[in-house]
Amino acid sequence: MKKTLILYIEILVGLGLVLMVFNINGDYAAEKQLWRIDREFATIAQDPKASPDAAYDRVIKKYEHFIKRFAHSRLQPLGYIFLGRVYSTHQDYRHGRSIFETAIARNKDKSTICLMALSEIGKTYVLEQNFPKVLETYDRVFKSYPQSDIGWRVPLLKASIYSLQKKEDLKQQTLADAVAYYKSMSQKNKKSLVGFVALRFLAETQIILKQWQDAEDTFRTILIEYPDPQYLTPSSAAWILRSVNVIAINELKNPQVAMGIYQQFIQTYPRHRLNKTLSVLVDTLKNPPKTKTAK
Amino acid sequence: MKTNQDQRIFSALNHAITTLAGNPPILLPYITLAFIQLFILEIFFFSPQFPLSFIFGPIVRKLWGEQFLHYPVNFMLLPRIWQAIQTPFYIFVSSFFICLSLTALVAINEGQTVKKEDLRKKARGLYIQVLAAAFCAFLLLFLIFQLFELVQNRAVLIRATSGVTYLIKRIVLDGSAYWGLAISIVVTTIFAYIIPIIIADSRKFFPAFKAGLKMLGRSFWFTFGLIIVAYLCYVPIILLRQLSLVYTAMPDLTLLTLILSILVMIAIDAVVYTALTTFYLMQKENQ
Repeated sequence: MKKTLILYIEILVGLGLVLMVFNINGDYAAEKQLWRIDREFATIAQDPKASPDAAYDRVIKKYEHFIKRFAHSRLQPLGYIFLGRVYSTHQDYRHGRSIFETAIARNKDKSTICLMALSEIGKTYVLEQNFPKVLETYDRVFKSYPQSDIGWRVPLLKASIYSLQKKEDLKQQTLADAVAYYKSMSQKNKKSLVGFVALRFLAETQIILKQWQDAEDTFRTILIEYPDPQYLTPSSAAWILRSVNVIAINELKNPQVAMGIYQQFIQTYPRHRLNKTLSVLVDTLKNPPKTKTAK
Repeated sequence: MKTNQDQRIFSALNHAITTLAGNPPILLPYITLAFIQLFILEIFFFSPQFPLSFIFGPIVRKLWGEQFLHYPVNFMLLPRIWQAIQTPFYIFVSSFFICLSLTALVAINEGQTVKKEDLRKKARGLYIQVLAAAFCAFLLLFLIFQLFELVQNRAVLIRATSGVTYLIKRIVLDGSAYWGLAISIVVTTIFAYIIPIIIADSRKFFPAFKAGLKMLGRSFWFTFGLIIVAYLCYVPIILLRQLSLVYTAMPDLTLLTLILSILVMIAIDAVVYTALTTFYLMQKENQ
């Protein structure tokens, strides 16, 4: 029996060792290491000012070691981002930014990493209240990645920065430019995801500008031109219908506008899966439920 | 009287451990069973990592999602997969090795020379009957768990935030792992003598079931007490499992809990079945 027992243990340990050797510097080991360092950093980030410099240095060293050890891992670029965040949390923004710039320089082909790094750079300037540099960073994002999540939002973000600086004229000008930009993008890229996203941002900008009727018209265009499920996902449909209702009832004080949009959609696409919801909405708008008055 | 019963229980357990330690043919099937389970667990553990990820990666991605291939989320999936394979594994694999061990025990008790080939041949002949017993035990376990789920669903609806009703709610919901253990103890007790009778008397499932219940009726408290004492060894594992759920800083603790759970559960099965079969054989000789 002893022989059998030893054989079993040898098989289990041997297999474990072989599989561990395969992964000694692999992605899984990198994930594990990164997760552990990140947890350590999370405790620092809970109260950055109370944490001693030694704690920061320890985490920095661990991230630097991670970057060296997992030089060939797809997770290595994240090491730079996390390392930069440690410096930013320690309010060493300049050093943090240099790390983020390194991440960008070394990962030019990885748009996700570059966007993360640019976003972190922007955050450091916001924390320093260096608004010209924030705008400069937004421009970098817009220039390099105009169709990324942040890229699309840049005109609105710039407007919010002008708003923070109480530069009302520049804010209005930026928003007017944004309307023009989103309109031209939607015109140039009809029947495509780019066109759909452009219309969504156009509606959002028109809401900020309180151009209620224009916003309703944009929503009508979205519904009529982009009825496919790939665009009209449950979440996007919910956002559009909610916006249409709120604008028609609260801002335009004219439920007929919303009803008109829904009826046009039902007539254009009589078999669309959204019609059931739209019919209920039309009925509700026609006969709004009576609110109980307090006695 | 009670002390006498206690002494009988501990003496039976002690005797079972000595029998297992002194007779490799009885112990070896359980060791093999532990080896197979640990081997499967090892494969599951390494499945998100290279090179096994080539085989398991697409399956995990398709069934549960990409995140379960990455640390530490993979440790949330590991116990779920492990739990899912337990039922078929117990019915088809564990039952065979229990059958093999008890066949050796009966042969040694009868003073026969134990030959591996003879044991396997006899165990294979009785396997279908043991399989039926294991299947019925799991069916009963499943039904009781379904009933318990109904109780739990009712407990969730209790709105009280204090008093006896609230206490009942907390006992039902927070103690679900212990209720699970209690249900296992009850089912193991009901089926306690069926597998020993199938092996010792080479009987078919239904006559063995009848005889097993008769035997249980004659020695209920001894059997129930013996199984409770043995299953109490599993309580630290439940505590460790709850700790690993709370203490999220160490996801790897999940693996350790699973390894210990395998070893402890097999040890419990080995001791319980050896003790019960020995007890049955003694009763048979006395008659």
